Amino acid sequence: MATILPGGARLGRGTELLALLPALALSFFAYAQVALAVEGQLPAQMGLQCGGFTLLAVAFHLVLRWRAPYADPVILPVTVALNGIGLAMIYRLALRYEQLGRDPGSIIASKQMIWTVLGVSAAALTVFFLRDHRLLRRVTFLSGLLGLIGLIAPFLPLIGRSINGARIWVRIGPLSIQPAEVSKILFVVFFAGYLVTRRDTMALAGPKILGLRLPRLRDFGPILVAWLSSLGILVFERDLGTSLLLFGLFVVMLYVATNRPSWIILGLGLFAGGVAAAYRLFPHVQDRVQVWLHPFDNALYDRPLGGSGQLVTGLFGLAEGGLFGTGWGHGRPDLTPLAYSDFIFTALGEELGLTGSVAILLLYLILVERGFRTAIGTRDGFGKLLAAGLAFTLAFQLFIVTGGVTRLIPLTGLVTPFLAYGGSALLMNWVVVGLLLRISDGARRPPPATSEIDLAAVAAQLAKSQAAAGSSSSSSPSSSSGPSSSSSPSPGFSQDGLSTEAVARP
Amino acid sequence: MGELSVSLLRLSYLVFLWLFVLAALMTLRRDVYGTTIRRRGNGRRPAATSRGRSRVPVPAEMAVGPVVALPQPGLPTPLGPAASSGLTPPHGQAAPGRANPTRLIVRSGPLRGTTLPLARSPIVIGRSSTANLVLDDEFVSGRHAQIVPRQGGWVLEDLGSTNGTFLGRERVTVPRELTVGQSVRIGNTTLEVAR
Repeated sequence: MATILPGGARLGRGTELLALLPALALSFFAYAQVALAVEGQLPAQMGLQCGGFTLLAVAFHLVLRWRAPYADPVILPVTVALNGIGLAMIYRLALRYEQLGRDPGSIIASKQMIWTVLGVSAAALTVFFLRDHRLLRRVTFLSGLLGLIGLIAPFLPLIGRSINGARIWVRIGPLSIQPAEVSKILFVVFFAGYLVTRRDTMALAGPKILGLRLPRLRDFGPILVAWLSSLGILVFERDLGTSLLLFGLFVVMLYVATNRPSWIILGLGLFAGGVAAAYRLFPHVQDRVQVWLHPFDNALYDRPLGGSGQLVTGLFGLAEGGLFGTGWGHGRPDLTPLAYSDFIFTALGEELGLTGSVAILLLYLILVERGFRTAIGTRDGFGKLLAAGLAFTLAFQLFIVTGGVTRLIPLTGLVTPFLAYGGSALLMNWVVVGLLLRISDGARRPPPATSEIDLAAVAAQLAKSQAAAGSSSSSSPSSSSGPSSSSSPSPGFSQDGLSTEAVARP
Repeated sequence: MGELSVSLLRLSYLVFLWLFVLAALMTLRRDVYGTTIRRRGNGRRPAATSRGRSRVPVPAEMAVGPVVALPQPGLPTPLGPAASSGLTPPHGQAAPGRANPTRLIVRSGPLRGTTLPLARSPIVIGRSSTANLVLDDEFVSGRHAQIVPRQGGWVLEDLGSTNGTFLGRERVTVPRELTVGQSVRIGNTTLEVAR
């Protein structure tokens, strides 16, 4: 016979610190191997950089200890490991680009390091200042509005910029940022807040056709807006990835909120319609599909723009890596264009092999699982939707870009979370981690005990408030704290040593 | 660098990476199983009530443990297999009835497996959501019975329930003191008083 006990609340901060050490060591080991393989010696500033990265991670850990002691212990180490591995690969490519004198040169490594510092700080600040994720519910519509502004910001005069043919940038001073990355999080907040109030009508009302409960037309509005806005991104910004991500996010959050498969079916139907229309209308979409279907076609491979050269080189890299990879610094991932951003997964696959890339995918799986586990564990509907939406954002980004570079789906440009080069994305993904940690703190915190009322504490409160009332009514504050005012609490409570606090106060 | 050291570095990195993944998974193991199932042993507790439905095998020495009569002759013999299979005294001494009950274990019914600590405050059992132990059962009244601390021990009191509260086989009409090992039946739920 056994007794079944619910899993007790564990802080897990010790586990987190313990797991941070191998996570950091993974990054440093990779860094050292890269330097040894490419330069033949360890870089002079390695100690400084590793120390800085360690300090950063431990500082975040301390912030968690202080402000979110019940937060999930696995999220931070896994994220640190992914970010560290990404940094090592970007450093590795930067060294190579520097040797060859090719664009973008060694600047990418130092830039990514700065963005890592900013990202971790942003996550720590999120945890620090956002004491309760439910506060975000108050800014539901504001964040929806800001999200939309973020999407159209690249088209505004003066600040909008077009880089590499995609008009998704905003330039503020020396910084170029992609506001769509911020919009991603804002839309998750908006949809969580919107759906948590509407989900009942969305789930229950509406006609039933062929065993599917269809939503009413007016409940249909938001998904239509989402579909139109993601189509707008596709048409005007030529950004397939973000458009797909936003639409997928909306459909999934609707499904999570209502538990109605009809939303998924409707979403897929709308998606199919949109894709079919886009395929007919836009040549760049046709190119992507052709490249996906016939990458080894000679004409396509040799085409300088919109050809399959990049994709195929990436696949060659994966093939070169084989089961165990070439080892850090021994491959030629630099042959693939944009190996530091969109194609970082094939670069890692080349140097770490199938074994290493599966391990990296597993790290993502763990991270996303923690996000969904947080969604299950948290007690409020808003938090559930928020955590599920954020976890899905990470998972879907990874799916789109990894599926793209491995030729599972047509290639669309998106950032591999934490690994790939890209400042705004790294920053915002760290904020996602900060939010997940904040929600998980609420989810894992044991509920306040309600069965037993601490009568002593209540008495203390009463005594205090009465003492305060007495002191405020008396003429001068300095003379108020004598025994005369503390004797005023009700006789029932004056016995149990609690009013002594009021007496002792000089 | 030699070929060998390159290979060693390469493979050691992969091993390290996988060890990290496995370590992360190990810390999640507890989450996957959710609840801990603690085997009750040490011969301190009475043998199982619903042994037939239990998935954990009962150790032989517990199942055939010596049957000990309850210390208070005035109290009725508790009902159910828990009572009929008797109590296993700890190391053959210190009759179990003398110890103060510290918790209630739900032995059968919808909440089977739940333990309820007997701390300081009274415990109200009933169907109403304001009860401390909410039993979703048609045969249970809103506020069915309560267990209150009195003079170091715990007293079971029926709160005018429709279908009655049973201590052992006997319906509770006046407040009755609880001793370790007794079983309380309310509707379809059997509670065991445990130490």
